[in-house]
Amino acid sequence: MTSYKLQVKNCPPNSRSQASGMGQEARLRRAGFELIEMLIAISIITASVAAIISVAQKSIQVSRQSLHQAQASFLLEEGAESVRTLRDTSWALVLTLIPGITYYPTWVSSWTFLPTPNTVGIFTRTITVQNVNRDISDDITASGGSLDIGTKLITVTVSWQEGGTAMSKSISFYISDIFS
Amino acid sequence: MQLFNQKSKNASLGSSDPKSNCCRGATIFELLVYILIFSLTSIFVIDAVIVMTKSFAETRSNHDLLDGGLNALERMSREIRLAKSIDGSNSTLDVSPGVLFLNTTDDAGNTKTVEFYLNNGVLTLKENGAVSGVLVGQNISVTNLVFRQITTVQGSAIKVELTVQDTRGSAHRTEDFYDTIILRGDYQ
Repeated sequence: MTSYKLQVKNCPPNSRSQASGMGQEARLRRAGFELIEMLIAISIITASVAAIISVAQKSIQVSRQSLHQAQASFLLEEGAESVRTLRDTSWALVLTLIPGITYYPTWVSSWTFLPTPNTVGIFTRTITVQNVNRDISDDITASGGSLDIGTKLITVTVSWQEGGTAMSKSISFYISDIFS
Repeated sequence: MQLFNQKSKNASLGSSDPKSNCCRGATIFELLVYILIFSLTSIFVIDAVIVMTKSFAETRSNHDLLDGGLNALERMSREIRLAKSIDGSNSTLDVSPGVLFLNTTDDAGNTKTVEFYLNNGVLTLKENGAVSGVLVGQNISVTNLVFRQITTVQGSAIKVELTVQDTRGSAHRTEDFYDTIILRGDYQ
């Protein structure tokens, strides 16, 4: 576009009027103006299309994320239920889960909790157990109190990678020895 | 191109006046610039249309897969949670396509049977032996459905493995859903 303007500028005014007359000059000026108009139009189109593309890409991201969130929610529910199946079999099995150690629920004919990492597709699911202390009124307390061996705090976490970003969902619940 | 030819002709006719060539040549250059800008804009716009078409297809596919998996598993988990027992003889466990036959009760407390099975890839629900409806949309096919029974001292649970496939388009994407549900009605 700059070259075009230069060419018009380099063209001596006399030769322009001699060769083509004033009509041609006006036409060329008009053409130059149209080029600027066109550039503005193209800029607007480019900016609009770029905005639409970014919205389209964002919509893909969000829809993938929503699908993964739903899958992760079911895995969380499964994690919680798997600990309950352990409780339903024997409270002693729940007591074998050492507080502070990260366990990975693994399906071996029934739910077992291994310290060896395993994944479910893109998801990694972990379970941790915490001891529960109760105060003198039998209320759960964060500090002090005495250890309640009949209750554990379970935290299930599902984590995965979402387009290079680490995502995770987790739930915590108390489980009690209600069948012994 | 017609314009280009005309201008070339004019240029050759006017070659006796070398000064005027600079002005006439500008039109050819102008045309080239126009074509270049038009081509680049066209490529950009066409690329944008392709990107948007693909993203629409994937968004729709994700929606169908999510909808199919969510509806199917939510309904199954609700029915399993409320069930009294699993009818092992009428169920097909540990293999796909699986069949789950549950003994349960309705809202009034009367006994009821609920059956989940695959009918040509369509997850179907039967209540009291009569087809009650399908649990996935028409663009979704269930390619894997496995029920595994967990027997505990106090009762039982069911592990469900579900794979849904998008039957629309050529990608035929699949997604897996897993859940385990304890039969609350089966506690002793």
